[in-house]
Amino acid sequence: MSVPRFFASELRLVFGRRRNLLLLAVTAVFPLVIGIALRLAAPHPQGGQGGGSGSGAAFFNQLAGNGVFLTFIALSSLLILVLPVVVAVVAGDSVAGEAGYGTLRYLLAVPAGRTRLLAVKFGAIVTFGLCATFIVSAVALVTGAALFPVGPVTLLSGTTVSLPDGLLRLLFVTLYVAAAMAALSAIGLAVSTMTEHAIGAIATVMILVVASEVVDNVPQLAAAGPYLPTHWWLSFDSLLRVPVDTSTLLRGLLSFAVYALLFGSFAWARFTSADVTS
Amino acid sequence: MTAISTSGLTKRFRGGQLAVDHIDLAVPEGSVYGFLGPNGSGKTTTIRMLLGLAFPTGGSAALLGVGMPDGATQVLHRVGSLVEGPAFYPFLTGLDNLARYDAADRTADPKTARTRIDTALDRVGLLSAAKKRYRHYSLGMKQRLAIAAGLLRPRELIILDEPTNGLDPQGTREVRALIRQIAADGTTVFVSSHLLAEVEQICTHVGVMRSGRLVFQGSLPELRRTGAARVTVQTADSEAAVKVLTALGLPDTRVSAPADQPPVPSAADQPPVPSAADQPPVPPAADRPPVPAPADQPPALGPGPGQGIAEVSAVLGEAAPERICAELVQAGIGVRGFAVTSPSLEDLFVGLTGEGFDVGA
Repeated sequence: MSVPRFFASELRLVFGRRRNLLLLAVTAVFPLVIGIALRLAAPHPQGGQGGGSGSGAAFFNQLAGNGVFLTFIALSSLLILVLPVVVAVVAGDSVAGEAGYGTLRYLLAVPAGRTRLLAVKFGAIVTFGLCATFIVSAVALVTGAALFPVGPVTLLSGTTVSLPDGLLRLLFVTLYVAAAMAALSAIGLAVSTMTEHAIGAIATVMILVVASEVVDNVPQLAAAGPYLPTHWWLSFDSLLRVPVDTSTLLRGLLSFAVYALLFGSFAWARFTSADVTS
Repeated sequence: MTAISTSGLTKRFRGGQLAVDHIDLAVPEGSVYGFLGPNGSGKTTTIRMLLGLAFPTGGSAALLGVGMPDGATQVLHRVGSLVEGPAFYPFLTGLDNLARYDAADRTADPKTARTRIDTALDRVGLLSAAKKRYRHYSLGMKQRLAIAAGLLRPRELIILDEPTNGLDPQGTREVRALIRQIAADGTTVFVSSHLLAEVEQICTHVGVMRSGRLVFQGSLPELRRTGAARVTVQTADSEAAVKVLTALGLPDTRVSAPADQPPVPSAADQPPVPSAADQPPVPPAADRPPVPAPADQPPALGPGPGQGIAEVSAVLGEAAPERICAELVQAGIGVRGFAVTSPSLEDLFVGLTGEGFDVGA
C-alpha cells in the first residue's frame, strides 16, 4: 500500500519537472524531424543517406517502401546519444539531486528506508526511460504512416510479414530498447549514489556511454566488445529477421540483466552503508 | 524510559578526526533538552547518528528504546526532526513538499494526509502560503516549513538542530513559542544550539558538548549548582586584599579592573598574584599606611572616581562572607565594594566550552 504511494510521489516528481518534460518533448521532436528530412531527401527508394550506424543504414533502404521502418531508424539513431542522455539526466539526478537539495536526509529521517528509496528511484528512472522509448516509437510510427506508404512489412531478411506481425515486432523492439535503457538506469543510479552533484553524475554516465561506444568501434579491441554496456543496444535488428536471431537477442538481454544486477547491487551496497552528509 | 540514550557513542571520520568521542546521552521523556556547544563541537554529527543518517564508529544509540541505526524504519516515524536547516524541493509548493515527505512514510495514512498537512501548516502559520513555491519562501518561512514537516504526525520526540539559525528576532521568538507548544503537548524536545540564551529560556535539561565530548549533562538547576559563588572586593589595595583572601584559604584568587573600567588584559588567565602593571605603586607592604590614606599619596594616585580601584575576587566556598569582610577591614584595607556573586549561566557555558572560536582541531 505504501510503496505505490511513494512510487507515485516519485513519478510525480520526475514527470512533473519541467526539465524532464522538456527532455521528453525533445525526444518526441527527433523522429518527426528525421521523418520529414528523409521524406524530403529521399524521393526514390535507394536514397536517404541520413547517417546512423551500420545496422541503421539497412533500415533506410526499407523506409521508402514502408513507413513502419521510420520507427527503427528513429530508435537506432536516438540510441547513439539522445535516449542515453535522457536516461542519464534522470538517473544521475535521482539520488545526487536529492543529496544536493538536502532532501535526502529528510527522506531518510521520515523514514523512507534506504533500500525502499533506492528501489523507488530505480523504478521511476526505468519508467521514465520506458516512456521516452515508447514516445520515440509512437511518434515515429505516426510520422512514418503520414509521410510514407504503410502495408505488409518486408523484413531485413527479405521476408514479408503482415502489418500486425510487423507492429508486434516493433513492440518487442521498443521493449528491447527499454531494457537496454533500464540497464543504463542501474549504472546511472549507482553513479548517482556516489556524489551530491547531479551534474557530475550525469556527465559521468554520459562519459561511460560514449567511452563504451568508442571502444566498441575500435577493431583491435573487438574482444572486449561483447562485455561493453552499449554493445548489444542495436541488436534489436535480430527481431526484424525470419527466423528471429534469438541467441543474439538473449545475449543482449543477458548483458542488460548482468549490468543492471551488478550496478544495482553496487548502488545498494553503497547507499545502505554510506553516511549521508549532505 | 529515556527518549534518547547513547552509550559510548563515537564517530571518527575517515580522515581520522574524532568528531564525537564516547558520549553518553540520557534525555528524559517529557523533557526539553538543550544540546549546547560551540559550532564544530560534534552536535550535528551526533544528531545525524541518532537519526541513522551517519553510522557510529563506536558505541550505541537508542531512540525511544529502539536501537539505531538498525531500528530506523521502526522508530523514526515517531520522531520528528530538523537537521542542519530546512531542505525541500525548490520547484514544489510548501504543500506539495510536505505531501512528498508524507508519501515517503510507509506508516502514514494517505486518507488523512491532506488534513494532517493542513494542520501542520496551520500550526506554523504557513497555511496561507501553502500554494506558494518553496523557492519564494523567506528564510523564516523555510524554517517553519521544516518544523511543520516534523509535525506531520503526532510525535513522541522532536529533534531540532539549530532551529533558530539565521532567523531574525521575530522569527526566533516564533520558533521558541512553537517549541514551548510542542513540549506542552507532552512531546520530548531535543534542541541543539550554540546560543545559550535560547536554551536557557525553554529547556529543562542541558547537555554541553566540547570538542566531541559531553562535558556536562543534567537539569538546568544542576548546571547552575556547578558554578561556584565568588566573593568580589573592590579596593585600591588589591595586593593586600589578595593576601587576606589567600590567608583565609579562598582558592582561585583573581585581580581585574572593575566593570566600568577597561578590562585588564587576560587577568583571569594570570596567576593569582597581581602583576605590577595592575597595581598602583604602593609602598612596600611592611610600612604600608592604613587605608584609606589619601593624604599620604601623590594626588595622581589618589582614589579619585574609580582611579586605581581593582576588583579582587576568589571562590567563596564554605567561608562566611561576613568574616571575610571583617578580616579585610581588620587588615586595614579600604573596602569600596563587597559582593558575593553566583556565575551567570553564560559564564558556566563559556567555562565548559572554552572561550569563543574553540572548535577543537
